[in-house]
Amino acid sequence: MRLSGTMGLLWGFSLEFLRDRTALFFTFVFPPIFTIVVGFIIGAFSQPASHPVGLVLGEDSPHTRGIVSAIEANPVFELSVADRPTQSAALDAGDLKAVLVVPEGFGTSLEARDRAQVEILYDNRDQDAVRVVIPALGAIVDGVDRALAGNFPRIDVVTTANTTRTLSTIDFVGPGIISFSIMQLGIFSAINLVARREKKVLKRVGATPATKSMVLVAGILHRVMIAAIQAALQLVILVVGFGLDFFNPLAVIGVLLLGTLVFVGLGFTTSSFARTEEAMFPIAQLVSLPMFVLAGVFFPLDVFPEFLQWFANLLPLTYMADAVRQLMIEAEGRYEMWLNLAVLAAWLVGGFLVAAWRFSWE
Amino acid sequence: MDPIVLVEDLRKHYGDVKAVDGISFAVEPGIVFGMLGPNGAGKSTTVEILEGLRERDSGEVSVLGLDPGAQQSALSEKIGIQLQSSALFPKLSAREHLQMFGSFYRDSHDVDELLDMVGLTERQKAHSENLSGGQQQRLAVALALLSDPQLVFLDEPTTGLDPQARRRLWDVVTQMKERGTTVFLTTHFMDEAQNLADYLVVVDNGKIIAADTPAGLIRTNFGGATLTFNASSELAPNDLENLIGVDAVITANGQYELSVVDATIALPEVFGLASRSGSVLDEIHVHRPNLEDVFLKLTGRRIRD
Repeated sequence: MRLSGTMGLLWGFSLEFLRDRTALFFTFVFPPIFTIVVGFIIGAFSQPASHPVGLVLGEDSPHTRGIVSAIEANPVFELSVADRPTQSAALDAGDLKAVLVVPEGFGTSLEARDRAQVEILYDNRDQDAVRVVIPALGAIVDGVDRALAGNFPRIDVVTTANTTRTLSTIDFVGPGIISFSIMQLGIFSAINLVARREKKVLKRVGATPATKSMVLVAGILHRVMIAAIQAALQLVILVVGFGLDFFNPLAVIGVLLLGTLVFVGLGFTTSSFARTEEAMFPIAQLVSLPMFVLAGVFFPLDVFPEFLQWFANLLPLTYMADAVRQLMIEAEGRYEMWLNLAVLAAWLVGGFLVAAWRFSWE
Repeated sequence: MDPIVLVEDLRKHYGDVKAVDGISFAVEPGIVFGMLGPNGAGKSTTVEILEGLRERDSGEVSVLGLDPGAQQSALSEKIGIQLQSSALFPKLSAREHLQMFGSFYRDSHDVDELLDMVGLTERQKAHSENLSGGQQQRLAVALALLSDPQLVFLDEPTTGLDPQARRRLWDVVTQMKERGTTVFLTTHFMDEAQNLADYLVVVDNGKIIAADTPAGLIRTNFGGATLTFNASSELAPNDLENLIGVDAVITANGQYELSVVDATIALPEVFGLASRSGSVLDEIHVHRPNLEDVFLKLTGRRIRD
C-alpha cells in the first residue's frame, strides 16, 4: 500500500464531501439540531412541578412538628416520612431529591438551649437538588430556627452529598445521542461508496495501481475525521447547553473512536449488499432502525420485553452507548466495561473481515 | 518489432453467452489498433481482459510481456485505461482528478501539459459534473495518459458525443500516436475506425470476421467504386460494359449502377458514350465503398441495426 495514493484518495474524498451540501447538512447541521431538540424535549418533560423530599424523624417533639408543618406548607415540596435506610434507598433510586434527617435528641438540645443539628442528604450532581431543593430546605429550617430562638439561631444544617446519585434524563440520553449519531454516520456514509461503485468510479480507481486497501483506509480516515467534528459539535452543545457531565474525556474519545471504526466497517459491509444507490437507503435503514429503538439510546432497555432485550444484546450500539455513558457520566452501566469493549472489538474485526472480503470495484 | 499485445484463442462466456469466442490477434507497437464491431460483439470484454480487470476463461494473453490475469498490478503502472463510461468524481475538477490519480502512480506526467494536450486548460477548475460529455471524455483520456504509458486502451471514447467533440477527441488520439504511444481503440463507428486505425479487426458475436488495414479491408471486399446516374435516353448496357474500367452494369427505370475499378478513369468514358448517344446524364454519384459496406457484406447486417 502506497501512502501517497492513500492520502491522494483521502484528499479527493474530503474535497468531494466538503462540496456536497446535502452531506454537509446531514453531518454537521442536522445532528446538532437534533441534539438541541432532544435536549429541550427532555428538559420540558423532566421539569417536575414539585420536588419529592424525604424526612427522617429521630423523635416526635414540638420542634420536629414545627419543621414538618413548615415543609408541608411549602407547595414546592412533596413530603414523605420514613426511616433513614428507606429514605436513603429512595434517594439512590432517584425517587427523592433530598432527605432531611432530624436526629434523636433534637428537641432536647433545643430545650436545653444547646446547638442542634439537622442533616440534608442529596445528590450533588442533581442540578435540581443543588439549585432549588437544598437552599429551600435550608431556608425553611432557618425560618423554624428563628421562630424558636429569635436572633440567636442554634440549628446547624449539615449537607451530605450522596455519591451514588441518580441520572438525570439528559445524562442518560446525551452519551446515547453522540453514539447514535456516529452509528448513523458510519452506516449512511456508505451510500457514497455504493454511488461510486454504481457509477464505475471505483472501477476506474481500481484500473490504476491503487489497491482495495488504499480505498478502504482512505475511506476510514475520511469518516473518522468527519465523526470527530460531528461528535465535538454535539459535545459542546450537550455539555455547555444542557449541563451534561463529561468525565474521563480521553477514555470517552477512545471509545468513540472504537465505535466509529465499528460502524464504518458495518457501513462498508452494508454497502456490499446494495447494487444501487436507491437500494442502499432502505438497507441502511434496516440496519440502523433497530439500533435507534433497541440500543438503549433513547429508551432504557428495561422497558422492553425479554426477547427484545435479548435482541438488543446483539447490537453494537447497545454496548457503545453503555460504555460511553459509563465513562462520561461515571454511572453504573448495564454491562461490565470489559464486556462492552470486547463486543465492540468483535464487531470491529467481524465487520472489517466481511467488508474486505466482499469489497469489489464494481 | 515484437508485438506489444498478443492474444491467442481467447475465450470468455457469461452463462450461455459466448462474449468472446476464440479470438487471436497481435498489436504492433506505435500504431492505432482498432477493434470495430456492433454493441455486444465482445469488444469491451476483450479490452477488460487485456487490462486485467476481467478474468478470461481460456486462451493466451500477453500485454507488454505480462499476463494481465496474474500481473494486473504491475501492468496497471504501464498501461493507460479509459473505461467505456467516463467514471469521474462529480465534484472534483479536471486538475484535481489528475492530481489525485497521479498520486496512485510511481511517476506521473505533468498535469499542466496533459490539460493542454486534451484542451482542458481553460476548464481545469470546473467540477467534472459541469463539463460537457466531450470534455469529460477528454479528461478520462488525460487520466489514461498520466503514467506516460506505452499502451493506452480507449473503449468507445466517442460514444454519445456530437460530431465536433468527436473530432477533437480524434485529434487527441492522433497526437498520442505522434508521441509514439500505442493506442488500442474499440469503436462501433465506421468513420472513426477508418480515420484513426492503422490496423483493424472487425468483430461480431465474439469472433473476428476480418482483419487488415482499413484500406486493405475495402480493397479485399470491393474492387473499386460504384458509379450511379440517370440518363435522358437509354444507353445500351453492353456498350457500358465495354467501356474501359467498367466491371458490371445494372439498370433499372433509367437508372444505371456501374461497378468500376477506378472512377477517375471510368467517368470520362461514360460521358463520352453519353454524348455519342445524344443522352444527357443527371444525378451522378460516385460511391467509394467504406467499412459500412464491408461490414454489410461480411455479416449481411448494418453495424447499428
